[in-house]
Amino acid sequence: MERASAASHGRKILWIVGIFLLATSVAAAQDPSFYTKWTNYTSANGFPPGEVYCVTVDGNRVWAGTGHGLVLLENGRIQKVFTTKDGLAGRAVMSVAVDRLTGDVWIGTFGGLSRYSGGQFKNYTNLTSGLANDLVYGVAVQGQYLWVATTAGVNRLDTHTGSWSIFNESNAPFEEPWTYGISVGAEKIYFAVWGGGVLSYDLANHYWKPYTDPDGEMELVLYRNQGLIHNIVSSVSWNPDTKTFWASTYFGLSSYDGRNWHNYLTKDSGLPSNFINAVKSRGNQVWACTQKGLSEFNPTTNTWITYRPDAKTGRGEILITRPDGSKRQIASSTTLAHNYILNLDFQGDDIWVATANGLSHGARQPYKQQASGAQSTARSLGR
Amino acid sequence: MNAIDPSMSNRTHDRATTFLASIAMFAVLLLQPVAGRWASAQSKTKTAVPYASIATDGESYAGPARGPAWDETGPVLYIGLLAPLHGSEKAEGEALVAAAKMALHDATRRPMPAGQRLELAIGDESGPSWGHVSDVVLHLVLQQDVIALVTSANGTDAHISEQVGNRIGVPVLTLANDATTTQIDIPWIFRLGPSDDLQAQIMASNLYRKRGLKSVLLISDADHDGRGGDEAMQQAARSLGAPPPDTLVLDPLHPDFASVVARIHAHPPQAIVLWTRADIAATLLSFLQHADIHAPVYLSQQAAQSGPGLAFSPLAGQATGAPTSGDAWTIDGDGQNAAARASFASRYRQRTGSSPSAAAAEAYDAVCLTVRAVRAAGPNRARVRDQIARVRDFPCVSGTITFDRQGNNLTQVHLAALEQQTTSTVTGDFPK
Repeated sequence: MERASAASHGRKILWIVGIFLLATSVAAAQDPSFYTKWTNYTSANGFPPGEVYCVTVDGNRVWAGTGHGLVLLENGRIQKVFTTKDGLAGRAVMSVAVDRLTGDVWIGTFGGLSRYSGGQFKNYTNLTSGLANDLVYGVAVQGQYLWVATTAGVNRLDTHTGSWSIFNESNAPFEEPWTYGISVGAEKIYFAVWGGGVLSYDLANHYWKPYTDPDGEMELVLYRNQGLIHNIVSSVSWNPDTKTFWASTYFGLSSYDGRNWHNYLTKDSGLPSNFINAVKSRGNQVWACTQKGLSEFNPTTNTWITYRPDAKTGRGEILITRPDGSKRQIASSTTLAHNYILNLDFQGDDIWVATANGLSHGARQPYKQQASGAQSTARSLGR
Repeated sequence: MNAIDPSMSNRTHDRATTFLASIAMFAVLLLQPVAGRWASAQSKTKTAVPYASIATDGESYAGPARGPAWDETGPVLYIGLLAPLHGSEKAEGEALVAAAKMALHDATRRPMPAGQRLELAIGDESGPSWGHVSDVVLHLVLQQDVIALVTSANGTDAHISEQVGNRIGVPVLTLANDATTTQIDIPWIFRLGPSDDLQAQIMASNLYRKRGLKSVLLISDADHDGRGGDEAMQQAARSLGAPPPDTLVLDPLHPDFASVVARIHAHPPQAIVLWTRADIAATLLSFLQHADIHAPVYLSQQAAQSGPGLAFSPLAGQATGAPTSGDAWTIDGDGQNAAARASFASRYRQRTGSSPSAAAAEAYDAVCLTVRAVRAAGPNRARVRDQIARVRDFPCVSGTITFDRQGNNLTQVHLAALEQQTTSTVTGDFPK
């Protein structure tokens, strides 16, 4: 009797779970949310003209590095454009990192490194400090250390003692010293190296490990998931949720989870371009900043969503590429400021995107059927 | 004999001159047809079908900044030139500046559109640290807002310029031979000279196939360019199934020439390849002369750059009227541009007193191409880039220039090899 009751109760739970899963999947299929609400900051509304090279979110503040200085936005409003006249080391700002403990803002420029603290800039250059080079491409905070990616190797600044360390071909396995980007993980720091692949630095054991293109060919990819797709790496992003690092190159996208490599090209994925300026990843999201739009990739569902203004009309288009290779294009009333994407950062579920013609702020909205879809011939994207 | 015999001194000088003349008399031009240019990609990989290749899967640059809002509006437009103007490479740098000035003069005889004036902005790249070069590049790109940047044969500096150009959006025309600058479709860089890979293949073909040699010594600098040449020569030898060359690496700051000579005496090679800076090549050739080493010497394009400071080239040429290594590029089988080339060489000699090197000719062409692009596209870096990318079969003094999608110049390549014809005449004063 008790056994029959328990069985009946179990069936009820199964039914409820089943109905819930069905309902949520139907809802997801019918009412997906896309980034359809875009606010753009361009020269038309007081933003510096031209390229935005980087964007970093710090709570309700957003820092954007441009070719004409560093822009601070608070709650979506432009507060200040810092230039060399304000004390910034260089006019072209390539990277920004915020020290969450001290509130200091570290700025990598073409002209040296700046620290913005207490309303004042302090600059570090090749001549006045241990900075390896004034061409600073990346900065990242790791505890008390600041890591700096320069064209002459990597610096580590101990912000407590002020002592500098330099890592280059002389003391680390740099095939080339031209370091283009940094990503901080809990156990390792990852570096994107132009011509030298990806380098990781193990924080506990203090050793370096290079990841390079195994085929040794600049012009070719020998096998699909051969290892790193190309040695000219434009950026790297460690995803702590999936324990995977992603590397963007000017010839495709790579990921490595510690066991397997996966590579992505336009020919086998929903990437709109193989020319990728930057990558960022968290959870199930991988964002590729390409020269033909911003792509969001979900490795679990093997689905790609690309956002960009239509090249001819300038209207917003969202291109969805499903695992079977079929594509669907939908329209959006607002879109990114430009389709040449350089960088992005997250603010909750919102994203801030650095483009070649201004900064864009995107918010997800449930998609309401508003445009006709277009199906392409299906082709498998199966891994 | 305690007293110095003046006739001996003269005789020594004459012998040295004769040696120098003879070493240059055999200036072998290794001409390779256009069809050979892609051997670099083809020879490296035996795999029949790679998963992807840039040739088929690459894509054109889709970047921004072509609109009028990005135009440079000042009365003067600058063409940047990065060249070594001090130190051991001063002669090469001055040669580039002289050629660039000639080009600007020639190309701007006709007024520029919109009344803008073009000028050179010259950055001195000599210096012990990379920090200096980076700052010079930044000054040219961000302060002087150059419409395009021409870089010297220094591969490291070309890479730094390429990376800055790629971020900021500035066309870079480089004289560097480092193949990696243009092996992938980085949209902003164009290479005028032959790649290391191509030079190595041409040399290897001549050394191993044509001459059937087995023992080759490669002498390279311990720097980025030297390593590139070293790798290219090893690869080229492997691709021909030949024994890889033995390698001697020189510290370019403190080259130990005596050790090189000792090594060559201990294990005489059948031929020597120099993949060094021009000043080191010149000094090393002098050491080889005095050490009675007769093996033919093949020179990379960078090693063969001549300037007033390179003794082996002008002296030999004056003594014999024979072509010198610096002249090698002017004597090609392609007569298409012979008149322009001869005119340039003649005017260059009048102006500087020495023969133009291949790099000087390329600097001349780089400036001319930039002026031409500005005329067609207006004062806008991205549109100037597009114009340069479209150059096809354009007759220039260094050759007929065509850029492929990666920015490689497909013109013919001319390399020099030096060989003693009458070695006995120079051995008198030095013990064997």
